[in-house]
Amino acid sequence: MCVAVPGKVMEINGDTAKVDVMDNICDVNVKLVNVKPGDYVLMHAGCAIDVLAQDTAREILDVFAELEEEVHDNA
Amino acid sequence: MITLERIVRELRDYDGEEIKIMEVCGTHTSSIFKNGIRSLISPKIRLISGPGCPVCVTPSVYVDKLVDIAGQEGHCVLTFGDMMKVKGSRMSLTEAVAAGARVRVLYSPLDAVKIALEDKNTQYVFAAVGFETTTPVYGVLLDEITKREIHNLKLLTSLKIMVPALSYVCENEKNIDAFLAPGHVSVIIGCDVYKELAQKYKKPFVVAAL
Repeated sequence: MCVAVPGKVMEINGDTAKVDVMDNICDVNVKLVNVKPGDYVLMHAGCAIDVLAQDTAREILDVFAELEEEVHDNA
Repeated sequence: MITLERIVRELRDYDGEEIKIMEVCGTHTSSIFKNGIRSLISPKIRLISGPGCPVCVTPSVYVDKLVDIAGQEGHCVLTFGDMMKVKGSRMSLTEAVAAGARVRVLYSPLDAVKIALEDKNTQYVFAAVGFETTTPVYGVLLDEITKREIHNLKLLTSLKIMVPALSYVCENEKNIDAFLAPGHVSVIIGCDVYKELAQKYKKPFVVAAL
């Protein structure tokens, strides 16, 4: 339950945003943050808890992609 | 230039005094285990799991209450999956389900709103555990419950804050040399709190998360 992942805000409708997380589009509550489409957010348990700088978000996503590759290779 | 290879080599070949590093967060423990980090470092560097897993530090009396609620007629407990196997004094939620209790696993507490609105004849209780990272999400949930006047969704809380737990460890476990501080908690509370602990107890803190 403690994991938080970054994603890119695609569109916002009220308190809910469509967020792209490694090509998965998720509905995320954005009530706790001020965001606009194109921003990166850190999501935890269905809620955006922070706005991330683009390079920080990309760095984290790269690490996740690398991990996924490792896991896939070892599966 | 410091390269990753050099860091790995230094960690592997370290042969000085034994160092004990506490990884505070449950996600640290899990990441260290999953990525085989223990096998990469010298046996002189010991990693010790800390108090930061909200599931692991849930008291058994709290699980007992959830089990009781889940077994009541017309009630259903909503929970993160991590809580399912945690033992109470009598049984876990998984065992309660096997005995006929109603429990549903959710990814997000906010999913509880839809569930409660769809079935107003059931009293839903969310097992609200967590540290500072998850607490704001419960705030959003309570806001929704209030605004939509939902009467069949309640929270049974067992929320904790990190700094008193860390202060206790610093005060009572003198032999820990350094701390890997929780990243997602720090998204909410910032890093200044660790400065105070670092200065008071003369121990280094590094915030990290994945």
